[in-house]
Amino acid sequence: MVLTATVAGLAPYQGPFGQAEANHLLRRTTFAVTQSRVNEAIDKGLQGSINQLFTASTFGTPINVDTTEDPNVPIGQTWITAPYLSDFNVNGYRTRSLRAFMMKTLMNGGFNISSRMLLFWHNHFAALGNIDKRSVYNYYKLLYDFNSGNFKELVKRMTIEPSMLKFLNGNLSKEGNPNENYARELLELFTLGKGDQVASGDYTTYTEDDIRAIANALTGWQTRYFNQIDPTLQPEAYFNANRHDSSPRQLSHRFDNTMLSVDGADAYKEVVDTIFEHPLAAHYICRKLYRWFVFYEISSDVETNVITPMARALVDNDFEIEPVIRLLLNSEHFFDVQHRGALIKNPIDYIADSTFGLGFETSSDPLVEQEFYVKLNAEASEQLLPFDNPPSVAGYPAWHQAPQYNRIWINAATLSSKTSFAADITGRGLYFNMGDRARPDFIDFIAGFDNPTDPNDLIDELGLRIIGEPLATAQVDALKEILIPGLPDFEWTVEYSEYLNDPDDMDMREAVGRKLDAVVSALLNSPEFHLY
Amino acid sequence: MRRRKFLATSAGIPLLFNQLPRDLSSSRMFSALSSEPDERVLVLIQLSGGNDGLNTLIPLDQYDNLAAVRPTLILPENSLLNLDAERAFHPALEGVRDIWEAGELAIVQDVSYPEQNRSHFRSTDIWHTGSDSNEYLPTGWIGRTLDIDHPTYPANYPNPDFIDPIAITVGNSVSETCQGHASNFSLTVNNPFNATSILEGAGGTLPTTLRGPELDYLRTSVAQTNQYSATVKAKAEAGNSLVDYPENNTLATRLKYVAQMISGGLQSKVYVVTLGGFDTHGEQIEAGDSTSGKHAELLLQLSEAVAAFQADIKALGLGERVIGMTYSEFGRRIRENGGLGTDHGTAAPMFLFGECVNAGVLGNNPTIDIAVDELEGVAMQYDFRDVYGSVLEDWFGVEGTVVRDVLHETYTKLPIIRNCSTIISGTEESAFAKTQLTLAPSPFNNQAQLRFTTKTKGLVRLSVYDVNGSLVETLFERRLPAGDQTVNVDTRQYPTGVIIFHLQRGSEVKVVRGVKH
Repeated sequence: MVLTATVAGLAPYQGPFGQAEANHLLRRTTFAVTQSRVNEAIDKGLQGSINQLFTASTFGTPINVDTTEDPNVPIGQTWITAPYLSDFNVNGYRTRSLRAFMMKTLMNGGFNISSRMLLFWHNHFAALGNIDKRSVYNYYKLLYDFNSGNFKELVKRMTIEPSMLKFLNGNLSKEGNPNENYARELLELFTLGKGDQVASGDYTTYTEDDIRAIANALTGWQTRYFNQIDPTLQPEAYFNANRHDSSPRQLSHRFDNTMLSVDGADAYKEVVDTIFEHPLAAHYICRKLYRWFVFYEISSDVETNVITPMARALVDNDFEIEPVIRLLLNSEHFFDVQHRGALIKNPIDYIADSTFGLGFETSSDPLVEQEFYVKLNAEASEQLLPFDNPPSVAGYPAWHQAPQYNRIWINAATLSSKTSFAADITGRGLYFNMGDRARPDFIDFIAGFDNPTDPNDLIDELGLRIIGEPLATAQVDALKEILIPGLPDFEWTVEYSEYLNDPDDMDMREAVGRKLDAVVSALLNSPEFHLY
Repeated sequence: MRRRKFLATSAGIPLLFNQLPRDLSSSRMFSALSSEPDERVLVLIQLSGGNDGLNTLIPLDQYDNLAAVRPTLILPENSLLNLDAERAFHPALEGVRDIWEAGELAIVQDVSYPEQNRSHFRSTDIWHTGSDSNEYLPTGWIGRTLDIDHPTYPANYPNPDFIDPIAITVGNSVSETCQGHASNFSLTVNNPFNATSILEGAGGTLPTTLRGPELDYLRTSVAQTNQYSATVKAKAEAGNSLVDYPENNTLATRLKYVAQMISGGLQSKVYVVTLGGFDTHGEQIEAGDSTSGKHAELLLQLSEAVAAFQADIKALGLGERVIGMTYSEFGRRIRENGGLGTDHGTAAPMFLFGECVNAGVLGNNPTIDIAVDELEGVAMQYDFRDVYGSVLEDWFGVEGTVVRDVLHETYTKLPIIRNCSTIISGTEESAFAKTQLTLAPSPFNNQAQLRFTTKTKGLVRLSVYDVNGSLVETLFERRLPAGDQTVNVDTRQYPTGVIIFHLQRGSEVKVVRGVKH
């Protein structure tokens, strides 16, 4: 591949902000992009759109929709602070409720970056575990509420977050027996990243001794009140001074031989502050943000002209994330045509685009709605993104595993899941909850198109909305062959106009609908649909 | 990054496929013989998370010391399944013990890599790529070998000579071991009996932006999946399975699929399956009962699955065609961590099973010192690439010179594959006299003396490791005459604390532990 001389840097983007640019911005920052959202963005312009992305949004609450056995939580109420029961396992309904709620939050976040950031942080701080669902909810709420807030503060909060203490065994760590699991991941995965090993136990960015010292500093934090039936007790973290190692803790030359001197319940704050003094503290997270919003490959040009300035901006803003994302989204580099439509979709994008992106609306019945989202959660899982159960603390491999990165989402097994999913969406419908069925209506979908009576315009617009990029001639021809096989263009115009003239004629609606199903099915199955 | 010789020319220009050096143009792993039905198969079982080797294969001669450093984790002596006077299995490993008793299990003690890096992700990468610890390779060890015979893959695959997938990962995601320079050689098969046909799109010219290569990848994946899935389904349906597998055991279900695919005539050479959950920092055992808990459950799943699979393979008459091999990214610390668990360590045993493995235990029991440092993992005896290389050479017939290029220059063949049919394994005479490698004084300060005896003349390597399992230095690698050997070592530059001296002559290893003050 021939590479251009130097990549565009972070200088502000000065070009036009039309369909293609608005589409690119929205697909990389929100889920299930529709044409009306693209139009809204074009109206607002680039600055207005970026402002819109960062407007405040609220994390909702999951509710009980299906269980009468929990006297503390009537149907229609939330369980996020409700106690456990001695004679009934509440985890079953709470798991369904939370999974559905998380899918809904991700896929229906609208013109706002919060959902994309929630997924980003969930992958970054991939805690998991079959624990008290109240605690799991609190963990997600923390991630959502921070969305593009202060990274240093988030790391502090995460260090003593009950779910994380449990997941990485911080709650077992005590004087004399420090458990270094969290300390290791704090450095390797959450903040600095691991550099090359240059000497025994020395990974350039930090050393094995630093892991030990930090593990010692973090001893004493424990968790309690999980799964309690006492309504006054909520799962929480607390500091137990008796288990805390108060001996002096010297960090290595990688941290300028800093001596950690704060003792007791605030020791963790000093640990995090010290890590963020490291000269490379901003680089690792900036690379990850870059891979998230732009592209997975980071050339040395990109490192110099994009990552380094991002890192500088992050330090200058005392680790506030929002200004750095704004800088990136507003840049020439972000809008460079080089990486538009070049990322392979993760399963949340794939599923959201093939349902809500096609104008699908969920049922107003909360039970049916929940079951639908539970079904989408299961689909995401089959496609390698088991949302609340990442395969490891590093998150989902497609977001960290070189050299394949996003390509990992695509293999024989996931392709076959995606194909069945697309076949259901455009065919018999997606079945869930013993007989309920979800299916977008493509006649409604094209009703708002510019010129749906002309088959060429129709296909162009379908392509643009579903794929996000203009179709190649070969694709247009192939799709036309599906829409009106061997027939002149006017046949579509005639048939569709007949339907428009008599929209209550169900036979006509059915006939036109089937043609559209076939075209949309081909689009959902095209390799281009997997890109955004 | 140091690039492998056959992946780049000396001028640093990317190597074109038709420019492969002549001697590397065929690894023989996938030569024209591949269409013969009597092909050999390797089943890789990844134990993800870092398996606690000391709780898997228990050194009986170290039992008291082990009990002293693992007071809560130690398994009661009367619960153990003895292999012989010196070694025993965890009680959950009855199935594996049966394979041992049938003479179809080879154990390689304390396998790791030099310069242990206790990160899961980096360690897993190292095990998958077969790289040095300071080297980043973009390809897997199997993938790199396959690249030699299939330099243009995935272009024009499948084809009449290679109808079947080259490798299979049973599960949801591909194995990095099979990553080749252009694509991953393994087809992901969740269930071989389900095959969906995927539309291939209208094609068209690829964009010249970064979208181009991604689109190309998608098109190729779709086309290949369609072709391969249909083949895999047909072969699996033609296949058979003759024993009962345990229920509610995903590993067992997946291994059953493997047996069905192989017996149906699928020509894939490598099958990869994974069992996760071995990262037992906490709740490795249940409080008060060291024979139950997370680790016991995992070993039981492994043992029952592997035992059923091996019985099936034999019943299907495939015993001489199939071997299995387990691996994990690292072992765990020797000392328990106080939270009913163990932290990331260094080396652990690998198991190979099948009628053609050289049954027995290679290597010595690790030495457990009751004063063991809390950072200390089990010291490495064997480099993992020597195990890989021996499988490539003696099982797949890959030339030793090729193995050295694919893995590492100092690759040493280990006698782990038996002379089952055509390929002859070079087992070696014992090179060292019975006397152990001894160290004096211990602890030592600026100088130490090592003594050992060689029975015959031969190439001997003496290396030094620290408490993290990192290589401190290689003292020498040279031909020594037969006789008593004394080596005076200048230890002034060594870090204080635990120091491991590692002596290797061919497949034989002696390890001695000392402490520097």
